[in-house]
Amino acid sequence: MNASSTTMKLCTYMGAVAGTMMFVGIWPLAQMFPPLAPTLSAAEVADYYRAHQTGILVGGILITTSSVLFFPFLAAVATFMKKIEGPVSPLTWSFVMVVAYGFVTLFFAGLFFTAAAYRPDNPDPIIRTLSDIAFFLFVMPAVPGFVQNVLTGVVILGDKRAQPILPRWLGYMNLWTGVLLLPGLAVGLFKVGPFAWNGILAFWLPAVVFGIWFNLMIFAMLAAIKRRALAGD
Amino acid sequence: MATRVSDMTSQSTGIPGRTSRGHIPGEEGIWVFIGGDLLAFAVFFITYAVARRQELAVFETSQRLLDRDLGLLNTLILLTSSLCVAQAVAAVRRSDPRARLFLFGGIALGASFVVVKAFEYSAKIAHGFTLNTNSFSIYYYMFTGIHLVHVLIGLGVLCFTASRFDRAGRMPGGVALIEGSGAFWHLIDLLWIVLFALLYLL
Repeated sequence: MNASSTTMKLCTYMGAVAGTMMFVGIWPLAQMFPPLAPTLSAAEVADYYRAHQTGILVGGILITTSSVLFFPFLAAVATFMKKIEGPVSPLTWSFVMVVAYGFVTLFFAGLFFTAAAYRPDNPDPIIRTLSDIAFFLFVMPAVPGFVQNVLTGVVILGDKRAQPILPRWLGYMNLWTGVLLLPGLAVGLFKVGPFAWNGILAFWLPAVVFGIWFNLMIFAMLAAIKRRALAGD
Repeated sequence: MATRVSDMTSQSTGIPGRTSRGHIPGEEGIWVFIGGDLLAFAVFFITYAVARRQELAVFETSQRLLDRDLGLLNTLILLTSSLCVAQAVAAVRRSDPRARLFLFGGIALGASFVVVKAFEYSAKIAHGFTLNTNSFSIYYYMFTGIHLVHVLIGLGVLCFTASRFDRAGRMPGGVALIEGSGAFWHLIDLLWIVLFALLYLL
């Protein structure tokens, strides 16, 4: 056990901390899980924000904080990818850039929840517009998520070592997750049905798949750190 | 698992040893993807079945607007394409240089599926049947659209595989690669058959 593997472990666990914070913020505190129906009237949405003001404001703090804490975890993923790719690593750099704007939207989602709840005396349509932006920021960045997962999957599967740094099933798992996140991209087109932002295929399926992906990534990365996959060459 | 799974491109064929203990085509990992995708589409199909029951009249009238001939044509195209890819897999296994021809045939048919789909979509849109026309149209466009994304990814995978042929048209050590991409292509075919039945025929 050396210093670098301890750092890697901490960064990986930070992902679990961030995921938990995000979930606590969005679910029991803000009570935005599942999301408000897109069909609600401006008055209904505004009343919801007025009734849950404190929970949403505290939830907003947790959501914005969690978006920052995801980055040590993503950096640990990038470290694995860099190790696999070697000195010429365009896919790792793409990953680093894509996650930077893919996860920053989470920060802004928390910010817009806060802005929507901040002034209960605002007119109803303004509160609903801010709320709409928050939900779009939360669900719609499916494309960076898709690209991020495909990059991870391709790098893991491109590992030419006899004993791969990360297991190959994790590569396929990433490709699968990427494909299933995609329906989120179309939420702007619908207010009802399975592809609306609270629908089974644009919200529930990606949410469940994201949860499975996240836990398996942490599990596989901790296992790789334990067998010192990053040491030597 | 990691120790048993060998590398995609540098793996030796080693078929004799594998056939005896029950051979998994491709590598084990690809079946994680295929199983996961089947699971997701199962959720899609159940969602559709529930929605159809709730609005039976709307679904039945809208379904009659679909062009069954084009749907059937695409089914035949994909089935033939799958047959070509299966022939290519068999040819690579026995180091037959005709594998390249079969694979290119499969890719060309796959590409014509996309062309037929484009004509079908534009005809529908020209008739005013668009994404948000009713709840059936949402399912029709989104399911076939997601399937089309699968076809495009599958074509990319097949083209990548085709780029691995050497000058003589052989693919040394490429059995797992072509089996894996073939399995993915058959998955796309299978999903289309279910989609065709659900959307066009039922």
